[in-house]
Amino acid sequence: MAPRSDGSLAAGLAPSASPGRRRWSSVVRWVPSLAIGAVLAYLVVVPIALMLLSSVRPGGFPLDPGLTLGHYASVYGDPGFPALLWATVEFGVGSSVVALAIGLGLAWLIERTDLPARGVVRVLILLPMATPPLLMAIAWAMLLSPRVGFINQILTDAFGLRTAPFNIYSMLGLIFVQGLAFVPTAYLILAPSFRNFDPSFEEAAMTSGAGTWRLIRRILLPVLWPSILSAAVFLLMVSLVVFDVPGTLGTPAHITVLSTRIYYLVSDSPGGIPLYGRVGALAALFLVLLLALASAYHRLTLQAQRYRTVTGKAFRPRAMRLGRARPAAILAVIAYFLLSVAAPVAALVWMSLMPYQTRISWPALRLATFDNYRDLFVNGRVVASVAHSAAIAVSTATAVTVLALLVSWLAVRLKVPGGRVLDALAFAPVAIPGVMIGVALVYVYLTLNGIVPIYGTIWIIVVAYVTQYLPFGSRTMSGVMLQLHPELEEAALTSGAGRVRILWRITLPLMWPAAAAVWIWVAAHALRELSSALMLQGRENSVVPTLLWDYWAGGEPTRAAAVGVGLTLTLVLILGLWQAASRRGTKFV
Amino acid sequence: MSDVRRLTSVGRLLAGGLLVVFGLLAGSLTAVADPSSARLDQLAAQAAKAGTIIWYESSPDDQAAKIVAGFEQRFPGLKLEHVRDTGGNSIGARIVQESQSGVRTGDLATTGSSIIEPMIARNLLRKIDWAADGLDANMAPSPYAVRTTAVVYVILYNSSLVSEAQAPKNWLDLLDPKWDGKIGIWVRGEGQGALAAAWGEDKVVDYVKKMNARHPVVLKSTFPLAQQVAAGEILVGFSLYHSAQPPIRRGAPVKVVVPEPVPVETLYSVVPEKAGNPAGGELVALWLATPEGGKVYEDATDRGNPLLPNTKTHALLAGHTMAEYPAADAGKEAVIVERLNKLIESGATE
Repeated sequence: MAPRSDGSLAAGLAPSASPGRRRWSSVVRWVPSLAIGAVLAYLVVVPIALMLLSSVRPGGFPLDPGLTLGHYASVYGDPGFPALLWATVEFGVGSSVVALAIGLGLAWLIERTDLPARGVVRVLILLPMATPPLLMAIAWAMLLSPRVGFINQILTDAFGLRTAPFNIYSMLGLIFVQGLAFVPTAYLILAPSFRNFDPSFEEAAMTSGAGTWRLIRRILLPVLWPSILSAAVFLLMVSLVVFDVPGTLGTPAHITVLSTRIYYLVSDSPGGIPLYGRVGALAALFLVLLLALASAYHRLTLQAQRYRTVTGKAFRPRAMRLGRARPAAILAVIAYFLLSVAAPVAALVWMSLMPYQTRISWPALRLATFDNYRDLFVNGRVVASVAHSAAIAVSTATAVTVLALLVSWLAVRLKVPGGRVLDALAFAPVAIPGVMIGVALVYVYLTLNGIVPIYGTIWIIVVAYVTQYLPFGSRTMSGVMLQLHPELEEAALTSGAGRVRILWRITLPLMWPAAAAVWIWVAAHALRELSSALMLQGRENSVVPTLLWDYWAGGEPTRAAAVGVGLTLTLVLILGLWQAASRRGTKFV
Repeated sequence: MSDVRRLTSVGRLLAGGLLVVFGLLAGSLTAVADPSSARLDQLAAQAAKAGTIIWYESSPDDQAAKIVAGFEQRFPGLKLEHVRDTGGNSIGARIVQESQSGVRTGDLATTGSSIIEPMIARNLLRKIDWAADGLDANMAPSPYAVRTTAVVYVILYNSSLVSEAQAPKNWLDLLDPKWDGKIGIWVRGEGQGALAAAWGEDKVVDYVKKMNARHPVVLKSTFPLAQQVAAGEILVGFSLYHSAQPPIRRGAPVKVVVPEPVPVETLYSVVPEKAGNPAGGELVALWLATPEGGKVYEDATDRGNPLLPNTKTHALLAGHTMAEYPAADAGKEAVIVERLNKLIESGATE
């Protein structure tokens, strides 16, 4: 059984096979596509269909009678819509560029150079994921708000300024905080590609006299193009639906983006009932944007096979020497940690020790108390929420990792019939706001309550999160899978190994860093996701983010900060374990 | 806009006898809320047969736990489960979705008239003879709804940075240029909307535009607004009384001014048509309308029923003029609030 000439591992039928066997085999070839396709359709198509149905129902609820295009007219005919769109694009592009630039630099330094203490840096870089964006935004407001922001106070006093030099309540402030929050995601998408990059390319270029800039431009960037593009597309799409940072820092500055508009339509509209019809109409725009981006993505990444770097040849990762640039690189990494971790976490620690929100100052230290931390251990709801969140995070991360791996394996490597449809389906949920996934799932599981009684339990949240995070998993896995030359698998196939055995013994070990990255990213995000958990909140599925929301909405941000600090410490532990596992994993590569 | 306009006609579905709150002094705002023990016991016996009572309401769980404990102490053997909906419009959405899907929904929901009206329009709420339960028309202005509590709009200021003499005394004082960039307001213009019941729409719209000229800091919730006042980032705020209580209790330098008129928004309790334990829902609504239940609710949430003389809210509002649209005008109010929301969001001054 020989591999196909197009490089895929799709089953090639021996010419001698009988027509009946050929027919049967072609039916069998559809089985994986149909099986995974059914799961994806269940996870993805149903919410999208309900969302679109909402957009044409006069009452906005999918099961309402009647049809209308009035919601589209309301949304797109609003005179403020162009400004809304522009602010969204400005915020999305700005924060994605910031994250991509920093993420690229860090991925290169950590994975390809002799930067000291790379293992520790690799763990620390992911720490911002532990801090819910809501708390991150509050922390930065404490540091850079115009009147009582700690950094502003220091700079104003030090330089005798009349006004504060920074204002976090501005578009630049939003881009800065969201960009920092996105850096771990950018890094996680990019790092496996940097790690799997064959250094012989660099060596050959340098032997030929290429300088660093030429090396980056002619070798690194083209080879890493699929992953960079994956990260850019993903960040851009996610930036269109993130809510916490624009919701917290944008509102005071009269900056409204699509996500905050959707939140308004769901929660704050004065008509008494969420305006799901208009939400659906707005979300339809996301779908169109997604289709355009996905199409461009596919066209561009068709070239990716030219840049496969992990081949069957001997491969020994080697760190590039930084030389005289080493101190500058170390300073850059330290600056990143100060901005993304140390400063906001310090602000959170401060707030967690205060009885109420107060400016950072020596006199206020007399108010310090551990009451907020004491509450973490005596409050039964905190314990239950932590247990629920842990179960949800582990279940979601495992399901997304397995599903994303299967989709990328089927679509990219085996090129099964309908593979591109599978890939597109796995990416599509990025266009659905979490709140709409929540609404759709409420309907689905209320309807199926007699058969699948998960309404009001943690499992309905798991289903929602798997849908939400599948795009990240599939993009990451596909990006890395595209870089793996199939010759190792082809060799195994030629030697008579079955495809499942090849997946287990060759593909999985090569994909291990990416799979671990996906798992940890999903687990960390599942620990802090708020919008869909709020929609699906029932009697028995309280989670840490809804607990945080309760504290914040109930006027107790100091208790929320204590939970945030606890989350950060927990994630440090998880990341430490992941790092240890990852080090073991690299032995396979 | 059409969505909220549609509600104005729906508002008329709320039965006659609705109380026009504006213009009445709180001191004279009392109601008969005297359900007999026999009636309560009768409902409790019926409720016990139907199992757990499910209550949709927006208070944080820690606060709700105190109310649940008070109820279960009063009615041993009954179990009340509080399901927190996160404020906003999600209570209405949940009841609509659950009712449409034919599954059991909450037995009681406590929320604002703007959320209740669309549910009445969809025939999702039960009509109850509250008079037979011992409540008069002040306490139960509609067969669908009984008053449970009210949110009260006030002015907050940071007492460390603003002296009492300098502090604003009325709503117009907030327009003073000295507060430029130092005022905090809620992104939802419901307080200003309630003011329109007293001032009229044009004057309130003009007020909001003038307020925009003072470059207010707009916040998504009144709780962070109170915390920002505590921190000193904002010096004064147009906010809610109960949102200010958590930092005040913890010693923050936040003080409250109750200006004239006082915008108020009543929250009602309703029993959904698809309730699994309607007797239980009715029982909780009745108990919350008693002095005992009203006190437990207010102690837990800092929001009290101004009609109950034993509440702090009643004392807070005594002698003040309140501004509130009657429940029947919820649709009209929604149109005004939507207009004000857009003004606040845009920061427009013209």
